[in-house]
Amino acid sequence: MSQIIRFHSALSIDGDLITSTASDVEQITQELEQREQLMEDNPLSEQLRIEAIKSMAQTLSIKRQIRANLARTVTRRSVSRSKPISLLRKCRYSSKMYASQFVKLVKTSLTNFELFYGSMKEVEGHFGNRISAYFKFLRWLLVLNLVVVIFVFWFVSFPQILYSGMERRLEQVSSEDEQNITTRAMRNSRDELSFTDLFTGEGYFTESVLFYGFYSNVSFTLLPGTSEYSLPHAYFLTVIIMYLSTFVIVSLSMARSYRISFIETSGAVQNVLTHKIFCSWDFGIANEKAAHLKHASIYHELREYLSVINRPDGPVGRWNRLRSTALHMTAHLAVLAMIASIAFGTWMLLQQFGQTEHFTTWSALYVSITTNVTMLFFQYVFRFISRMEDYRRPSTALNINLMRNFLLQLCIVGVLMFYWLNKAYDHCWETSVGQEIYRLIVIDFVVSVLFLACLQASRYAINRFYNRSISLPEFCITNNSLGLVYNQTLLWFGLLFSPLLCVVVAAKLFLTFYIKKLSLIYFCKPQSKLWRSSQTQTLFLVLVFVSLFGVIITHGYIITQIPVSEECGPFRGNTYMYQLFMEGILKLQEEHIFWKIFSYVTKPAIIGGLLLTMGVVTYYLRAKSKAQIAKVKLLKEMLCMEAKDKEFLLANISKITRGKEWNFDRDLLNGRKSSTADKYYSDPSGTWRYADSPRKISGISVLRDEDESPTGSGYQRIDECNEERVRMRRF
Amino acid sequence: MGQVKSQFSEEELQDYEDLTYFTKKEILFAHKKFKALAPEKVGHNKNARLSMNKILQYPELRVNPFGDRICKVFSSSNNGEISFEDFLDMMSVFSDAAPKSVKAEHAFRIFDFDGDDMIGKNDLKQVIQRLTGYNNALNESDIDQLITNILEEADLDDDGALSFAEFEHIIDKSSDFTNSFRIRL
Repeated sequence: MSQIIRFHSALSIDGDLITSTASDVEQITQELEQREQLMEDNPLSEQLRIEAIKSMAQTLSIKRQIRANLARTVTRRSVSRSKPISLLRKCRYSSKMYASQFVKLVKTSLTNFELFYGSMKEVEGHFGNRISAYFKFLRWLLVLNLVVVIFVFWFVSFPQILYSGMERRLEQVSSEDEQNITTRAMRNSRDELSFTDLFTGEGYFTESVLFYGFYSNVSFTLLPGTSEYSLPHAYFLTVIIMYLSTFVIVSLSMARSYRISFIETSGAVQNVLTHKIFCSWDFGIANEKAAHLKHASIYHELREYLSVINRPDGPVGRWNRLRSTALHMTAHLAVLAMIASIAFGTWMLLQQFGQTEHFTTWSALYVSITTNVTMLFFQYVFRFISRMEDYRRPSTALNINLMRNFLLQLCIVGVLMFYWLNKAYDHCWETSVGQEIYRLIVIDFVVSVLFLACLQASRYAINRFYNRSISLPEFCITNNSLGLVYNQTLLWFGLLFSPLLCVVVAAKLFLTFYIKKLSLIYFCKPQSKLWRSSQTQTLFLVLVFVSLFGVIITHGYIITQIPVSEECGPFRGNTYMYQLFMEGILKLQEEHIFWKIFSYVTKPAIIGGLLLTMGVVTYYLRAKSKAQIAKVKLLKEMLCMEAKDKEFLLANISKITRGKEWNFDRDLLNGRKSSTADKYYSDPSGTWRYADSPRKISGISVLRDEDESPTGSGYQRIDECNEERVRMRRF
Repeated sequence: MGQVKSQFSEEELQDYEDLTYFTKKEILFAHKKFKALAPEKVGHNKNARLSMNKILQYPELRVNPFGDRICKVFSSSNNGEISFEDFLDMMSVFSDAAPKSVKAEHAFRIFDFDGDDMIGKNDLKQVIQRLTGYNNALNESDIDQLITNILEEADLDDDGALSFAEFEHIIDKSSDFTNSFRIRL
């Protein structure tokens, strides 16, 4: 299939923009017949033919004719030079065909399952394709989580449920003793589910399959006759594989998105206006109100562009520049101070409320509620600060805002993790950590989805019924997406401690989609600023990648350095979690040569050397790309010069030929009249291409007769006579 | 759904699938939407030609400032009347599966108001006026300044108009174009 991709680019570079006035079918057929790879009589070429015809800009009926013509030519040629296809080649063709048909089948079936199709169309119709970027991101995360759910549930939770069912039946045969009851009471676990438990994750849930503590550390046989199913190994391997594969998927998506939005558009800082003009109208808008708003926003964008262009460049004078730098510095320092104080405040709060005795009551939620409300509040604070700073470009303001919010989230999560990992627990610390994370996730849902939706609804109600001056709420894509990143980070951190957390998060994402969509359509007004979606999307994927990387490093530390609790969980019996892997699976002892090599390779010096090498390679690639940019600039100037040369030469030709008598058919010279085959073969240099497209010569209308020289180009301009309009196709 | 299916034979669907970027299911869905514009006429003849006014009832085209240009570009009879095949062609180009080059080529034709294969100053002026809508009009000097800036950015050979090569060059560098130039079926 790489042939098709290469062919696509070939067709768009030297294919011609054929207007519907030309005699298309024969011309196109002839052009296509020149390409050898299309005209062979095997299924691969047929696919290439179909792809080529699909990508042509013609009406369907013309495409049908072309296809019929080509098919006829192919059969004609293959009959004339028929040779039998070898068996090997036949196998190769059929395998490629089956592969491509399979891929097509998979794609068709996937489009049937496109989640939320109707909702996305509604959102796009009202607000355009930009806002649906947030919902697409949500959908991507949801699909990722669902895959994790399937694996974790199937390999880890489901066997455990079956096993505990078997175990309970065995237990009922023997009597329940007193000690069991007291130990269970100590762990704050109960038999019935109470309403508080849904939020705190304690009580009924402590001894349930939701958390780490419930999983047994034995291998058991589920079906008699089959071999033993070792739950600890399954738990460990499933979780580790999920982490690694998610990491790979996220990094691949990030790399692809980066390539599309940054590299291929070469930063895209230039050509701002052309993009604004040609790419700003969203063809997906289907609604009058949205269309009016879009027109208004385009108008405002253009006005703003004009004012920026006409404004003098930046803060003039040393004093102004100093002042603006000082302003930025103060803002950064203020933000950092705020974040530090919030971290400190969180630490104090944890000292106060993080103790075990609070856990079954509502006071367990104080920490989570405070952190979430703080994050929501400070979004508005940061937005206010950045508006005060008055950045020259709105995209800079957006990115800086994003980084500040992300930093705040990271600090809070870091403080929480640090506290929990260093606290002294009575028992089962893994379950406790899992419960804390469960609380955070549930409270985050309540605060940033439900509470925010209520806030937006009330603002809408006030606007409609009481006071028009309070504006309708806006849907802030960046803050919402950042919330998704935060949620995902929590999930990844908690997956080790609570396997079924992914089910909770998947349900939460599902509900979030619908609630956000409803609040967007009914309560919000569209954003007034146009938003460069693809670059910020890349930034979000980078943030997701960074969080996942941080989580994996932390888990690496936990697995290797923190001792496992002795009374609960699937890793009982080992000191550290990784020992299960090493001794159980790889059957390695500490003195083994592999272990020695591994501990040598992970020494800081080696890792440092590796990072240094990567830095050098990156520097080299960057230097190369800078050289390419300079080359592009040079080529652009050459293009300009070429155009001027061409004009000069054509003008001279017309001057010369006008002086002579016309003895021969001018049409034949211009290539307008000739037999179809001759046109190509008698003029192999290709000037017959320069037949029908017009070309304006720098501002002068081609038909004018007066002698007028244009804005100083040094070349002589001769006026064109009416009969001869020298037209050129693209060059 | 059975009634719609009986209007198309298997070969016709395969034919359409080969010539557009749609699957058979999407083609039937497109026909359903086409029929919704004029149920009786399309019921008689599944490939009926609908006038431009009827086509502009389609929600995305009705609010689109370039709706009439779209109809003219995709019309096989060049007068704005759209048959089902033209409609299919149109939706196929606007769909997700169409590559950027195909979209760019059609976008060029849509923006080329006078049909001379170049986007000249008049074309750009009309584009800008249609984009801002007739309620919010920029004044003449502003529009001229915008046009000069566009030509400065995009016109590589300095001939005062954008040829297809230059237009495609600009579009290649924009990552937002595919997102904007899309209509979900």
